Amino acid sequence: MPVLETKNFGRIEYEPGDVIEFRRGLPAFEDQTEFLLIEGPAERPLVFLQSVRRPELAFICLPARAVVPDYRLSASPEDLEEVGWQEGGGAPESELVCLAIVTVREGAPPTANLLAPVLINPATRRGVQAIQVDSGYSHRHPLAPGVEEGEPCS
Amino acid sequence: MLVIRRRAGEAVLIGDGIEVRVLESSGGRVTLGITAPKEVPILREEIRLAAEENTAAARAATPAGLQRILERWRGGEESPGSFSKIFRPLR
Repeated sequence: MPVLETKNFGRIEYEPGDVIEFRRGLPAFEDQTEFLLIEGPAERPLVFLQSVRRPELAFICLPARAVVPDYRLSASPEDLEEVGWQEGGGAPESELVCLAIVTVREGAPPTANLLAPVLINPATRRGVQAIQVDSGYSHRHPLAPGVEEGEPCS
Repeated sequence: MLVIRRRAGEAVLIGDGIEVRVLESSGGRVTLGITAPKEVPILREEIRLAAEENTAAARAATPAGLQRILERWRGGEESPGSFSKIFRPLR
């Protein structure tokens, strides 16, 4: 079983099938195409998007609907196609994992990027950071205290 | 900032090979046609915002950053010892 020595989360054992492929990388990290989604029991519902190739690169994420319960996904057809989501099966929200990357800057409260959520299709293990042009969501949505258990990922 | 008013069908020229033409304008939206040399990257602003946020987020993904996010999320003080010892891949 492959093992990843991460900077922040220690030694992660994973199976090749756990890897999520981001064929386009993420904006500013275009060369990073393989990630693991990892969680710790004490941090739920936070999850971590950990780069497989760069042990020091990770993103702290929250399910978009844990940040805004009525969050609406308006991903472009290209992004939905990129993760291999088939139209007709159901609403994308019900099948895709939709995560907001959380940032904390010096002297400011944490914010979540709702403008550009990370979409992961568990069925295909492919992901994309979807820019939701015209969605009206902010790339720096102030994080409010959330519910302890949070929402499921998808 | 230079401000220029244009109607649908009109264009502005930038430098030696860049043309930005207003193709359509309706309901507060404009459709632009951009002609530029191959080597000039053209991005929606949102991509740059995402890149900036990702860069900041990668920097914030540390135990200290995680602690501040958890404190905010849970609305109280988080003791550093309460972090998980074992993390596992989500399937």
